[in-house]
Amino acid sequence: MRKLGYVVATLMVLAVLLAGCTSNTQNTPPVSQKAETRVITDMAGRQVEIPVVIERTAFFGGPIGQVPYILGVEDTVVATSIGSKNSQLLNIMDPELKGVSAPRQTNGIINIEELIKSNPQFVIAGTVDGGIVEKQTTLPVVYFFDSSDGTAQQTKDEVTFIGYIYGKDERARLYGDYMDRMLALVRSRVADIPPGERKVLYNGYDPNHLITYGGDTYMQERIETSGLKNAAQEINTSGVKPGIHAGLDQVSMEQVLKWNPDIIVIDSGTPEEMYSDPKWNSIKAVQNKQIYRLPNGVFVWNRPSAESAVLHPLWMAKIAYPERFTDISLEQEVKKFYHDAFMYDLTDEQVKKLLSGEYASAISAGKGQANQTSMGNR
Amino acid sequence: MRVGEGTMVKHQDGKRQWGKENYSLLRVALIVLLAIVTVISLMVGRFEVSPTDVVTAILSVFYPAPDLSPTIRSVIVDVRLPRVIAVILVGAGLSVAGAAFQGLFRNPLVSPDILGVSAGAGFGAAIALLVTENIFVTQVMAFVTGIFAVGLAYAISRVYRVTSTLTLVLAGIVVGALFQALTSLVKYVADPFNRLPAIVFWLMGSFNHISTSDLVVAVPLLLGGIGVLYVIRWRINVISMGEEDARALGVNLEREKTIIITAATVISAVSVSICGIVGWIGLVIPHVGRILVGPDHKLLIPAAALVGASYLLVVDTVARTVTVTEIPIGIITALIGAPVFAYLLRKNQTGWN
Repeated sequence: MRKLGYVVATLMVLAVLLAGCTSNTQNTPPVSQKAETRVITDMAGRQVEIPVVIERTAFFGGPIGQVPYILGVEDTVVATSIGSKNSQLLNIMDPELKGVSAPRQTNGIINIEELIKSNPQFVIAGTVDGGIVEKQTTLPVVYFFDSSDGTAQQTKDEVTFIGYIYGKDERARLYGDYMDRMLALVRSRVADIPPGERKVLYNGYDPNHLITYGGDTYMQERIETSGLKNAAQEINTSGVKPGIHAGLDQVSMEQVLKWNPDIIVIDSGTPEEMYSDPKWNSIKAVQNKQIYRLPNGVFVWNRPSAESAVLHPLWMAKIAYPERFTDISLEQEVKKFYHDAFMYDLTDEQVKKLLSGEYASAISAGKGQANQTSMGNR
Repeated sequence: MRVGEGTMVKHQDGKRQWGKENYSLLRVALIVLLAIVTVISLMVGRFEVSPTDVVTAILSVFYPAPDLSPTIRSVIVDVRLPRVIAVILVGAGLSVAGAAFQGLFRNPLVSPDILGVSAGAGFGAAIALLVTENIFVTQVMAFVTGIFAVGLAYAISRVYRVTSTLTLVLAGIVVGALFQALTSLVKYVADPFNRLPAIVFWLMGSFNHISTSDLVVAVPLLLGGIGVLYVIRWRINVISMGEEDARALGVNLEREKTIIITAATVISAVSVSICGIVGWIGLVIPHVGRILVGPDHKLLIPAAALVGASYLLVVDTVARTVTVTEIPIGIITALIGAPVFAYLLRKNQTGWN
């Protein structure tokens, strides 16, 4: 009994000490000298106090990482996601990205001490990341979405909202208008295709090409904008699955044969490998040689990002109905978008690499060099 | 029974088993069952094909059928048939490997991946999926690292010169843990948008992407592994009596052990390399076999092979037909396997004591 008493006493002392430590660390982060603040309503409808002059922010979320570049405020980003930090193209566009801390690995995995060390004034995050930051730190969190559906409108709203926080409403509006113009252009070119004649597109991701987006995901809207039909529109794939990003699911080979798509978009491997595989042989897309590798810019295109929301529908529509877009050059459009939205001029070679998907990275953690080595080996 | 030797298989066990006494009848029944399941599996799928077309398509491998639509022929010959063949051989192989390992280690809780083969092969596949996008490279890497993992466990266990089964199992656990950690590391560094989904789906296991070219290498290896274990099945009986008894009977224990481990490891490594990690088959099916025919490996090995093949084929047919999306097969085998195993443990005390 007495021994037990000792153990309990020791544990209590330890608990008190530990509690002291935590409360200490929570006080330590050098919250900047009482800057002037204002209260904003974030996209989850919460009131958040943020500084009037924004000097240091953390951006958590893969696709959102490119928004500071659109708004021209990338200099204020002191902490980001590893996915953004290792984007090959972002590193080319912004050599200083190398010095930015990347405490967020994937959704919900954050190195809190690293975040505190980077000392942002507040954190811009989605619901999962934001919840963790709020629970474990005293940093204010601004939610850029409540429930994300990844539609074009949602992407535009996010850019608009972050533009508003930064007082960069003009840049945000420029992006929003660009998107509206582009999507309207694509829609107008494919509008007169009767429903029965619309080509069927299948997204065949993964080295096996059997992972896809169903009809209840943001991809449905993009495919429809392009005047196409999503082969997998009858299935529902949204919902979070462990280890995989929401919206992706596996379909059986026979199901794909049954859908018999006209066009297949892949994110791994080469079309040639599929053309020579007897399994895929009877599919229209193989017979018509209509398998394409997905482009990859500052971020992968098969995720709801600002870049892909504008360019992906155009790309799909152009590969499906080239005769309707003879006057439009994808290369020129990519260059123009990067010039207008990111204020960066891509070289012809960079555009080529972007459109052929060569900027896709395999490794997300660790240093940029590791990334480059793995690319070199391919 | 020697004290401290663990559970031992008793050949003169008191309970009478119907399957043991009517073995030839049971064998015929199991073969018929597998045949029925195979026919049903070939007939159903997301792509509806009439039974006559299925038969015509399969026969078209030998006798050209010019009237058959090329799409239907492709569905059956390039997709469904290779998949069914792979499932049958993997189901049979993992069950036989499990039965052999349970006899070798004289432990009913052993599964074919006890020496780290699945963990090793999973790591090989993960790293290959990280640095290449090539399925063939991934399969080769999975196979090689699976074999390497078991070799490593074997080498570690040799510190006492003689491979005692206990050190072997412990070494296997060490190697398995090491490779599992390495797999987690690969998943950690993998780009979450480009590569992580591929690795996650691979590790969940699926026969979805089997093609004829996979079978060219896998079928001989699987048949070879199953064949070796079938041929030496009576010697597993001797080994399962205990090392000293086996030695007293003049069995070259080291050699037999090496043969069993090699054959079972090749089966498991090939399985992981073509369909990812499909758990619970190698653990549960030998128990089902033991309920049917008792612990005699002469009967158990073929019974486990037939039961395992039928079972996995039923599960895979469900996985590919029930919903439009493909259900990961590892989820179903675990969902069915775990409760069935618990039930067997409670109900069935024959076979092991």
